[in-house]
Amino acid sequence: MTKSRRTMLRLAMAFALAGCSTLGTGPGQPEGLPHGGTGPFRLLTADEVDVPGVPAGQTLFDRSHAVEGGMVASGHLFYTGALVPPPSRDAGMLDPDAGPPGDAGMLDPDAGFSGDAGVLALDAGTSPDAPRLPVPAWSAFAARGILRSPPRANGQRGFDEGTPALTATAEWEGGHVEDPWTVVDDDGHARLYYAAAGGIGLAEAPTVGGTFVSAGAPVIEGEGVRRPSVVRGLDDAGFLMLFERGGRIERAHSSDGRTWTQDGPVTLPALAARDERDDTEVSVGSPGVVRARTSAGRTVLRMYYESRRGDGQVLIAMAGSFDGVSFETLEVPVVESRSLRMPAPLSQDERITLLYMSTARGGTPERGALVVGVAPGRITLP
Amino acid sequence: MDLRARVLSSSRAAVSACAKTRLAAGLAPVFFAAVFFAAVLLVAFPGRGHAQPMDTYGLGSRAIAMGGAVTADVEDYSANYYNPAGLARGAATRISVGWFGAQPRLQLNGLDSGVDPVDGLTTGLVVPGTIDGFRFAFGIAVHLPDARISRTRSLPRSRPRWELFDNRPQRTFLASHIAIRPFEWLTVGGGIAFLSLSANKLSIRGDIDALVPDRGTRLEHDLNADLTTIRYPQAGIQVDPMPGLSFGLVYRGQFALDSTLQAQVGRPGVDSDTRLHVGDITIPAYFDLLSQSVNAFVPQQLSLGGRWSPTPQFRVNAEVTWVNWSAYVSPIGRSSIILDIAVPPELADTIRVPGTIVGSEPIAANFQDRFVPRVGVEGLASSASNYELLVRGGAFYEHSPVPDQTGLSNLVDTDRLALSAGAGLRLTELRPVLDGWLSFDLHLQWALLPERIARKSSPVDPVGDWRASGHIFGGGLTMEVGFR
Repeated sequence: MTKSRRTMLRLAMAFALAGCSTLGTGPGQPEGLPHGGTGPFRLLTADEVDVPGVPAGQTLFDRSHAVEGGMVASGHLFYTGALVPPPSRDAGMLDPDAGPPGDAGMLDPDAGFSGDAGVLALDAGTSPDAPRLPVPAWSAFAARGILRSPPRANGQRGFDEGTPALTATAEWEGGHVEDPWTVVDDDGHARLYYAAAGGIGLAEAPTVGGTFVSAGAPVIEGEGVRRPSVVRGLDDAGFLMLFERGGRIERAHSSDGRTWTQDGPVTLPALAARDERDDTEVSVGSPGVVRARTSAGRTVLRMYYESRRGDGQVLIAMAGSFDGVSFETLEVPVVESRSLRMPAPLSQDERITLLYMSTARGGTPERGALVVGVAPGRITLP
Repeated sequence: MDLRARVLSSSRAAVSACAKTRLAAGLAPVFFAAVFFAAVLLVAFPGRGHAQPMDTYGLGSRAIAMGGAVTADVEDYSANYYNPAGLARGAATRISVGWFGAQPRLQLNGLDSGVDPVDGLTTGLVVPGTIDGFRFAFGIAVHLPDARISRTRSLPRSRPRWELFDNRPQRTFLASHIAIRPFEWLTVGGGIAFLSLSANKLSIRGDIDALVPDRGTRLEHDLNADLTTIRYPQAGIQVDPMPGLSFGLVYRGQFALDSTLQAQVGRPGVDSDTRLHVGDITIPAYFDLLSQSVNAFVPQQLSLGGRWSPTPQFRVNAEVTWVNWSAYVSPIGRSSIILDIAVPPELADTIRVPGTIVGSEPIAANFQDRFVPRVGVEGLASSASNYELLVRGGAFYEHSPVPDQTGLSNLVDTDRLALSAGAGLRLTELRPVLDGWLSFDLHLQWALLPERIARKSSPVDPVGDWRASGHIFGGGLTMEVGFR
């Protein structure tokens, strides 16, 4: 082989190697996209909440008590619950120790509540023509109070059965307290806002796990006032409360969290029906608000609330505000289901929002169940 | 022969003969040039213009190492992109092959956006000749990506996307140009470039058993994907008014890849060949999704550059490019959805079909024009009788043409500052094996995309505020064989 041929061969090999270097790669997938907490929320899996053997989303393993209205503050789950379990199944009462272990976790797959045994009229806070809402059958149980479940040692999002954190003691409370919403200051001091027969009350504790002592008088007076939801003000100087009264959501503000000035109803355009399966909105309520910091460093209030429809179903709606006064509503519900209620958001970070909600429990819908969803729905929580 | 002068002073050689030729040339060169330009313009304007993935990352290691500032100073195969007039500068036949890669590290809110790298084979050639005593050259350049020939993406309109880096560079590029040198001080070039385009249609037909979908469902599907080309022209000139100085001007038109994606299930009407089976009941079904968008719009551009060689061993290039981004067509397209299922009355309470499914409408992009400054330097670091070693550096700055994203769209982009460096080794004494040279050019490039923040006007924006930033790392090697 001549020298020139060898050189040409080497050149050809070099060209071929250059071609071989261009081996293909698979397409990339977008990951880590921003999200505005607008949903759609999906229920967490049993692995994500670490409550095994229960349907997706259930965050509280409590087989005996009737529960609803859960929210999480500083890792503690606060919720409304029957203070004692039902004595027996006689006359419609349920035996807490009966049934398979999985019973506690069974959510009602047909939890539309219309016409089934679990349907009870809302016992407070609704206008006379408000639709019947799915709430636990409180009358079937003993007095209810506010229970608290501490975070698990493994740090997962599931909770074990809680213990009473606050019970009714004052006359104005009418024998029961419910709808907890806890705010923890930077120094650890905790304020527990709750609803009772005569209005919205306040109990305070040195820590979120400490003993709550009621302030005595309601901070917001009035019958039919429910579901307080409190966050720090956007200016970091005070507090903002959103609560439900008469099928509307109202606003109040305070500089110290103890003395409140009521600002009146929040204007919220009705959530339009998506199709013929969505009945017309007849009232709103049960607000749950979270103060989130956006990726641009701005503070935004995100309020999730119930849009109650004429047929008794409930859509979880959302509104946002940059000033805490005027709210802009999202045009679609943030949860596909029509049977989840009492949303309580928890902002994990700029992108991930957890939403604690109440629903019916399969087999014993009157007991209720607490579930948790996440947005964006395509992520998997560790 | 002084090899340094041969490498670095092609313009000097051209200009040295310039004075002789100016006087000798008559009307023939002018006529030839006029006809040539007319032909280029005829090709150029009926179409929608031109551009290519190289707009983002460049073509050829020498040019990229010099920041792309080579409009007035290019004569290898990369002239097919930077300025086709440069093809006629040299008298040697050149064959080039190389590899180019760019790895974006682009983030939204500190999380990787998953923007795909762009890498692949680049190759090209320059073949000079003479026609009636005028120098003439033909050139061709190809960029063949590793991963795909073409890619079509039709994203939800609010989905954040790195508009200039995500899908646009994922294209095959082929360009062929011709150039002439009617005078020693003037070269003119033009031609056509090709880009790949795809249009897809998916059809599904068959039976779907609503009760036992695993066993009772039989479906067939057809997928038609047309990979077609878009052709667009470009033209440029280079002028050498005096030794050591040259200027270049190149025009690149605009083009757009219209992307159509259609998915059909069944046919409209009761005779649809796709049916839902619910027990003994058969329901004809029809679904049609049509998505139309512009997938890779590249705006028209005009680059004006200069080269100054104070010594034969050193040159400084500078140029500015006007980019007509204000004509940008938004990639957020139009979509329509039709769902037609004739549910029998006995199943009306079980199967609910929405009456109307609202599609989407395009959202205006409202980009702004920009001027891109570029600088590049090249110097001779070392030489001997059989080799030359050149070092290069360059930079450019691109101001983002994308307006603040305060609404529903999320076209992500930031400014870009790119710094590059490179080296070239030319082996010049290869006879008797090769009467020419063999060169290797290497480039490295780093681009900084400083943080940009989007603040949404709506507190319930589905995406919310975001912060975008990143880096792009690039590199490549080009090997060239020159035949004297």
